[in-house]
Amino acid sequence: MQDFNLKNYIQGLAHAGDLVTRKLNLNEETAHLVYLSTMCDSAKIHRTIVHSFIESHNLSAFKAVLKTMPGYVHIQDNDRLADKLIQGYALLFLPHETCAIEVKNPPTSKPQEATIEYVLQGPQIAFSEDIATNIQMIRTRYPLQDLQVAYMKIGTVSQTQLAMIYDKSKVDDDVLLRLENKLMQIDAEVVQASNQVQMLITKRFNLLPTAMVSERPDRVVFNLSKGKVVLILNGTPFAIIVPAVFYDFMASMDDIYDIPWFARPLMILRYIGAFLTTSLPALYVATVSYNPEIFRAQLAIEIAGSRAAVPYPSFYEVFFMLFLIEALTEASIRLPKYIGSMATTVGGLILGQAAQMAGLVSSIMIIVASVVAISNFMIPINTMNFALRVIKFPLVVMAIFFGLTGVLTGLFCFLIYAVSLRSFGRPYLKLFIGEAKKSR
Amino acid sequence: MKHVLVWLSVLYLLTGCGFKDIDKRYLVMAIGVDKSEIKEKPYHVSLKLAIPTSQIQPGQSNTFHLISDDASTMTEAVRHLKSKVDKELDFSQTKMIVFGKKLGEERLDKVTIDWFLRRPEIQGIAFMALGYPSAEQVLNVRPKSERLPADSLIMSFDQEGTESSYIVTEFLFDFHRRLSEKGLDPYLPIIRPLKDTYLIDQVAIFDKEKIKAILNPEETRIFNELSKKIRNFDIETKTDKAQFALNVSSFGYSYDFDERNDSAPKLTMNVRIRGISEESKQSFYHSQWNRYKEEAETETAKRYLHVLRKLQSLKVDPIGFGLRYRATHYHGDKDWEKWKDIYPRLDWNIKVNIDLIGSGGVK
Amino acid sequence: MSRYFFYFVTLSMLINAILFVPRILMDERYDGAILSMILGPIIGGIFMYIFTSSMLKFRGQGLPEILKQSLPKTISIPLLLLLGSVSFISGALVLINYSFIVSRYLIPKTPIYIPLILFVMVASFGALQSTKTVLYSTELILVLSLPLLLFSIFKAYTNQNMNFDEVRAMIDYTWILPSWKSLSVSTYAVTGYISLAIFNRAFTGVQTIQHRWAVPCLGFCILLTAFFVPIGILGTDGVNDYIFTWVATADAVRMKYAFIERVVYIFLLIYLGISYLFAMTTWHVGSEMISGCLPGHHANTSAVNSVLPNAICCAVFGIGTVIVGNWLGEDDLFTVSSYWMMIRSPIDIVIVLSVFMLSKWRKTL
Repeated sequence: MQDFNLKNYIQGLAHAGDLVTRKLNLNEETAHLVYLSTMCDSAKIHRTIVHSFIESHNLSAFKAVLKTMPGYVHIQDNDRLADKLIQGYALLFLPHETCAIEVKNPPTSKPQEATIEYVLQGPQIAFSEDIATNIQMIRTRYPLQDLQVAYMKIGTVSQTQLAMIYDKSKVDDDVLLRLENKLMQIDAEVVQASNQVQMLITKRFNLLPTAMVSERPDRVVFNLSKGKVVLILNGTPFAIIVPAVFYDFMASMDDIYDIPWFARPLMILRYIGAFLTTSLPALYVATVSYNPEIFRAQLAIEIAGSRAAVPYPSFYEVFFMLFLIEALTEASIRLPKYIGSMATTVGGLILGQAAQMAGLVSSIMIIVASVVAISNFMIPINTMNFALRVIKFPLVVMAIFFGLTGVLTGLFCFLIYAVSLRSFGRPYLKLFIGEAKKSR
Repeated sequence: MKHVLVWLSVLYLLTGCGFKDIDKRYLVMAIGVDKSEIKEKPYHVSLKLAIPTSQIQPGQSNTFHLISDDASTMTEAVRHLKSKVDKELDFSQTKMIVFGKKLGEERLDKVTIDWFLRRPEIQGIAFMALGYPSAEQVLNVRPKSERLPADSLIMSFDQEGTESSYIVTEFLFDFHRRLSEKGLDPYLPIIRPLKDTYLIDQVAIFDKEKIKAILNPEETRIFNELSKKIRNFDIETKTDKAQFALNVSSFGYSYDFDERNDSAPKLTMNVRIRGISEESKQSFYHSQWNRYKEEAETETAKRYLHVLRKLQSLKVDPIGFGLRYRATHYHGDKDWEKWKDIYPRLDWNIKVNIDLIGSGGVK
Repeated sequence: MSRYFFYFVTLSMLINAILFVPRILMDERYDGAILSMILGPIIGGIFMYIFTSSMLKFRGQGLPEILKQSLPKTISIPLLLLLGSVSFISGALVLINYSFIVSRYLIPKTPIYIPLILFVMVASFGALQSTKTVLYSTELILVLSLPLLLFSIFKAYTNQNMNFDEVRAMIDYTWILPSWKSLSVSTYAVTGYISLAIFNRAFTGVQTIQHRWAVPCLGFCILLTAFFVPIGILGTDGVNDYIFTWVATADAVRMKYAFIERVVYIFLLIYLGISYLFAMTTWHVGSEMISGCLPGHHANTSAVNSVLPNAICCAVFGIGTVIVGNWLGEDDLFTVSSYWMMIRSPIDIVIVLSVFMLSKWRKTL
């Protein structure tokens, strides 16, 4: 190897600005050290490679030292050299031989506090964005030799690393097989988010989520112990849990940590919340416009009185208020944290007396709208939260056309739909599923 | 998207005509039916319509609109009344149906209440009553403490507010049942309007067609005790030996038919009353309790006997002795024939057993 | 799995006992209706026992497969078509009946075909699901609605205006030989077990169904409630004046402290759900029976298979239901229903006996 030409090995990267090439001379033999400065830890390179190079007397001794290093890979195939560089390896071109040593920058992403699925008294730390850290967290919390971790890459362009984790002794082989099939079939170009993976492995137009996305390590470990499969995508602080049935989305981790006297009523409260957030606007339309007879006389007269100023049919005010609520929710997600309080202030103004004073909505409707908004956020898992937000609109449409009958019909159809779903072969909504209670 | 459009168009085709906002409906709180002066149009129908308010305040929010019209049938009357108002009449909150006393004296039977039963939105649990002098006058009263139109009437009858032993409650469905049941005759409470309030302390007893008699308040109370087994009444004893009142805390009675002597059938009734003395001229000494008790027992039995005899002589049976006779005898239709023969000559044997459990706060 | 058997049996009892039985039996209440209510569940129970025992011998197989295996096509296909239509018609009658009620009480001033079209669409949507989905949703919706229903029935029993003297007066008329009509109506209430002809496919791991004796007892209780509560509340003679007996009965019950004071609305809404469920199960059974005639059609047990034949069946019967429902009057409905039940009972007996014979024959093979 007289004339070292880097271009022969790494065409695409040869002119990259952060490419560093060093020539290491020893006893008239030359080795070339190549790495991407942005991906690698230069202190580590110095400590390991350069240091041992200086200490070595000849190149073969140096080679022997290299082989003992952690992260040493012997390269047989020169085609994949560029990939190695991008993954944070330093390449060493020795005469007649090429090797790669991992000198990646330590992950900058640290586990953060759980913000989306917050629990009051329980583990407070969520996953980080780094896959290795996440798997380390899981291994610490679930120190069993049955825990299997399998890596794969998804996304034809992004090549995002994905880890599939499961307890070998408990997992359902059928689920595993279905999941692997699904993962094989993914042909998206760029995969960057757990929700995206969740959508890719389930049916795209499913209204209800059939795989769970969670940021909580304790939830993941709990589900592992139930024999479920966990997918962790590099670059997101979320894990995907499959299979997931309806009840899983309504369960908070608190349910396991608290005594049943609190946990059960809270759980019932959450189901009532789910019912209210989906059907209260529809019930309002149905009762106000079709079946006021189910009210007591006093309430009927009050509603009629408070609606007297509203010139439009009941469903206009419902759509108006629902639009405001949804807009408010959406805006508070988008708004930067520092001006986030603006949304609440403006929202408070609108949802307060103003809309009613202006004669746009009745005072009962304001209560309905706030109940819908509040009870929606009682549902612990965000994807289910979104799904239920969507469902209320078809129900309102049914109420406009058929009154209470329509609302009930809509709910019936929704239930049938939910029951007909399968999450990787498991019935999605079924009573008495009889899960093992050991972990409680 | 295409799917959504298709479904929306299907839905549009299916739109019913039931859509009507609550503020476009006029809630009918009470219906009054009187006998009109015009011969071809015998029904004088009045509707008490609630004017909606957004804030309920006693005495302020019970504003109403009373409309009335004469017609030959209920349907016609309602149809014509619709042209007098700007909103759709909604009968689903109608909890009070008042008939004029004159109508009751002439004829009040299945034909009269037919319209109420046929309209699906009229509640089976609506209260029925007679208005004296007329139903319209009853509906026109606006009590000072009322929160909603007709609310005070409804409160009086459903025993949610006042619990008076003079107020007899009758539901529409129950009245209908009594109209056809063998051995159970209908009755209706009578509402008399005073200046700003009502007086409900009488009951009209019907045979299957019209009023047979009106019981005075004292008899009404006894009737209420016997037919509804209400508990919240008191017993006054006023003889030359003792004068005191008992507040009843529990009340019950049972009876059976004694037909061993075919010529003189007997009904033996056992009444059990527990009560605390509420007002007394004498002080209650231990030794005298029994004496007072016996006084009260004979007094009470006398009163029951009076009401029962009166009903018997009128040949009506609103308490349901005939039905019980049918229930306890197993010969089907023959029982009823036999009862019709027995009832006029039935002998009453009433035993009252009063359990005095205390003398109130003082001796 | 065997608990699912009780769900669809209870479902059919609830529907028939509340929607049809009162109206038809009330007409004959002085002429042997009471005895028929005692005999009906017993007869039904015996047939249920024979049918379930014979069906369970064919582990995991539906009636179409059984008939195809053991009978020539010329017999099995007409038989399946007949059974399928029978199942469809019993669902359709409930839908028509309920759309009468809905267009009167819940969406007043609406022509009957509007709720009927809605009902037919919902029932077809449910019927096209897989057998397991149908079973699971039956369980879910029954468990959700039964407590409320039981509570309102309990309220009716303990109501101050429930007059037990009237019930006792009716008992005088017990020992009268019932007519074929009232007997078949009472038996009809217990015929939910026929659905096992299809649902047996999902009962793969079931050796025997436990507590089968509960079915006639349950049927007896539901029939008695459906018959005597209206009498106790509306009167022995007064009850005759109402068309939808149970709706009128529920209207006479009030819950003073409940959010909805009028029990009738709770009752109507619960029964809307139960009627949907019933139509869904019967139409599912019907469409599976008819599409079972096609060669090479696979049983629709779990995953989504081709549902085209089922969809066509549902569409045809759905359109038929709408047309017939529009054309029937209220009084026709009950005449037609009672005639229907009189024909239905012999058909059920034929099915039960043929399945019994087939299972015997199979054993000897």
